[in-house]
Amino acid sequence: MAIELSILQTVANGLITGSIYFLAAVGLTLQYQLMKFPNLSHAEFFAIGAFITYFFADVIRIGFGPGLALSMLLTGALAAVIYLTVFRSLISRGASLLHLIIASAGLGVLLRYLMWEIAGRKSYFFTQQFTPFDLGPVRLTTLWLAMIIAAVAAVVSIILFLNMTRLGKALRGLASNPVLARLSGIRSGTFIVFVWMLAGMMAALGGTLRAADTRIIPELGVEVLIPMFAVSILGGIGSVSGAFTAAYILGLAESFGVVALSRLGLSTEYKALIAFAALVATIIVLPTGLSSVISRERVRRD
Amino acid sequence: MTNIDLFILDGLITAGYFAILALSLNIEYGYSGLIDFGKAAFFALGAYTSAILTTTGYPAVIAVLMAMAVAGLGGLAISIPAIRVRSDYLAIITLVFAETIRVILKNESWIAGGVLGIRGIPPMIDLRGISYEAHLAGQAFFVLILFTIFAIVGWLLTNSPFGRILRAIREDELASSVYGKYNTAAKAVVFGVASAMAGAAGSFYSQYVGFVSPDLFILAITLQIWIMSILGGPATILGGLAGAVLVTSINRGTRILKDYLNLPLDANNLMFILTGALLVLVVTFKPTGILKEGRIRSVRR
Amino acid sequence: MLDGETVLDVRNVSLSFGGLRAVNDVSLRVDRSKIFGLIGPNGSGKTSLFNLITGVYRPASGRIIFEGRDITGLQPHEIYRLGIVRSFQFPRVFFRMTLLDNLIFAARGQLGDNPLVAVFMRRKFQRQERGLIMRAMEILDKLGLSEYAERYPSVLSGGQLKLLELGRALMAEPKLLLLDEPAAGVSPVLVSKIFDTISYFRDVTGLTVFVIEHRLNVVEEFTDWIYVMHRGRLYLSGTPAQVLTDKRLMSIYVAEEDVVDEA
Repeated sequence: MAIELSILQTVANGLITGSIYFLAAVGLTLQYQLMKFPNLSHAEFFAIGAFITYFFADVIRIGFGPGLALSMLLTGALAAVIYLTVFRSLISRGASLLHLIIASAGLGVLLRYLMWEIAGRKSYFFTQQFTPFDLGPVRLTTLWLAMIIAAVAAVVSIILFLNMTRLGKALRGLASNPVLARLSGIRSGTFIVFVWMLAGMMAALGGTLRAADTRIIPELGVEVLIPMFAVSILGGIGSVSGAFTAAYILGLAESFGVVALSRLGLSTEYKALIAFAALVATIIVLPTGLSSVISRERVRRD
Repeated sequence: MTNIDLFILDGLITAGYFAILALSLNIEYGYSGLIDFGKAAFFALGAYTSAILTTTGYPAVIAVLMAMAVAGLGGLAISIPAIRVRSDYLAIITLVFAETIRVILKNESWIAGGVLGIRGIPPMIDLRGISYEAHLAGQAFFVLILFTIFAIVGWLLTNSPFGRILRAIREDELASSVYGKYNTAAKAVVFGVASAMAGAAGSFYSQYVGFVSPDLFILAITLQIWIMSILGGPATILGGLAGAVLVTSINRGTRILKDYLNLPLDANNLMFILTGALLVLVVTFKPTGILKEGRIRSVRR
Repeated sequence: MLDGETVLDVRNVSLSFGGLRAVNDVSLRVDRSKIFGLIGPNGSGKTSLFNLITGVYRPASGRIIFEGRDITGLQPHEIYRLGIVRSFQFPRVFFRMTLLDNLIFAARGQLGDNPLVAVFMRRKFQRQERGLIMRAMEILDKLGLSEYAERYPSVLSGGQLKLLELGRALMAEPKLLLLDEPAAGVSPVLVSKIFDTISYFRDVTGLTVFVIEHRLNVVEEFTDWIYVMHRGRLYLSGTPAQVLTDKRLMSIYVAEEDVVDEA
């Protein structure tokens, strides 16, 4: 009886973790496919979003919900601005893949140390409280439930958007064939800005919820860096549904892995190896990710 | 020697070790086009291996060789999954690898002192008995010899038919394989050699500063090495030295300037903020660096 | 068929990209020391067929036999080592190496390719390298490019780049040379030079040539046998005299309204 309970709890924990991983990764995976390079500064928006929420929620005191909403908008705007100022000019100068990756890495470091400078090395906490409750044998809190709801709401709305709206369909066309898309009259500039905004917003959402669960520190993004990339690649770059699936697979694997580690008396920090192993395994076995299994796209031996 | 001279000398010695790291990155990226974001990890693997061995009584030679072996094999291991696929995956995998190692080492007290690291590493050239100045001078001479050795090896490697293969891989892998070259094997060799070089640098550096800590592993250090590589001229042997001297000067200069102007900023934070900014600026405005790539000198003509 | 010894035997190969059949059940043979031509409209699958033979793609079905050995599915570098060398329609020379290095790169069995030799046994590969330099200079000379030997390909014109691409392929001492439009977009004077050079090497070394070419007059003058591809299939085959007077040949070129560019 006790084992069944703890299995259910572990599953619940895995779903909660997976939700955060999805929110962290969805922006990255869309950006990656569209821009053709991994934005290494994406992780920092996780923390930036949390800090901005904190600022409005607890310093200016407009409350957690409004603070979160405002943070999503502002972080999205910040991401868009960064694209417009840094990356767009780099791309127009013909920067290579490496240069873009490096610029994003440099930007990430810049942002993180700037955060350290402004916020210092201490931890901040939201004043908002979240009440725990029991769903049958499983213990949850309203925050954890919010995470799952947020992830599901995000995936549903993004997928609906990509498939149903004109803007979304154009975006998919743009991502897969920029030349053709441009020829059919789609202005790529606005769409790219939109994707960066979306990425920033999702990062702010995920970061705020994560920080509410742990604490607000500049390293918030670094903590999910490995899972973020593992999920993006395991799911298949550019695939929202793939990222959703991969996020929960990883979340559950880590959740059970942590239980196994503590039973074996090992430090739970080793759970980082689970995400790493998932990443390496994906690259070796199925480099195009889970989404390719669904759509069957293998011709080239590149 | 005045304090300022000693300060400069210390800076130069540090630059010397980072020049070796930048050189190893030049071979990987400048000549072969491989994007390695885990450079600091191999540096630190070498440093830690060497530190553990020397503080438990093993002679320096063993420590260095083991450092190179561990780092080199680590480089080979991590390259196997990544070098067959696209270059951005290589970047991600090396980055994630470095982060994973850092997280594990930071929390494993039994092997590596956890957050505190390992202290009390004995120097390999120890002239402290004579004077501090002599000791620094000895260390400076030591790093100069080390860099020269690695520079020669790097030069021989890249100015040869093997070096031609690297340049081919950098530009057009398909054309390279269509002309019979074993791209994957060549990339693996580059990764192994460059990682071993980084490990050696780590070993020697650890004996100079006397301690190692998980702060050696951070991405920001890898990025500093990248600036050195790009700024100095990625497809050159001496570019790494130029870049290392420049970046180290900027690092130290920032610290001095901050004190002089009494800026209310943390020196460490400031240094890395500038690192990030410099990285963005360099790839935007001077992506080819200072020194230019030369012809392949496989035979004297 | 010509009665010569078959060097390359392509049997029922097919290749698809998504829903598109780039190569559809193609079978053909190439005989030793002859020059075979491969013609057809854009998008008929000629380059894809070359990509299949050289291992860039793996056929969905069928077999490819070279000198009696099944090479289906081998990697490009393995196929090179068996003696098959190909040039690209859009030259893929290395712009960050000199012309001389571009050529020497293609040579076989370079001792210095081994990193240990490169660092520790310099004399060994340097002796070989000097020989390769001489051979490369001869080829550059024949192509009229020797003044650019130590310069970078960026100083070359489009036609000269095609020459360099050809020179590199010849340097590789091929048994079977696959040339993808070696004279496309090149001035008429250079066209003769290119094909004269090809014929010269064929006469001297006995190599076999399989060439994709658009210009029917060139094909007529230089080839011993022609294959015609259309929409992924082998459409016609025969001597130049037979094929070039065949009415069906004109029909496929005229009918090609919806041309799809080959990848």
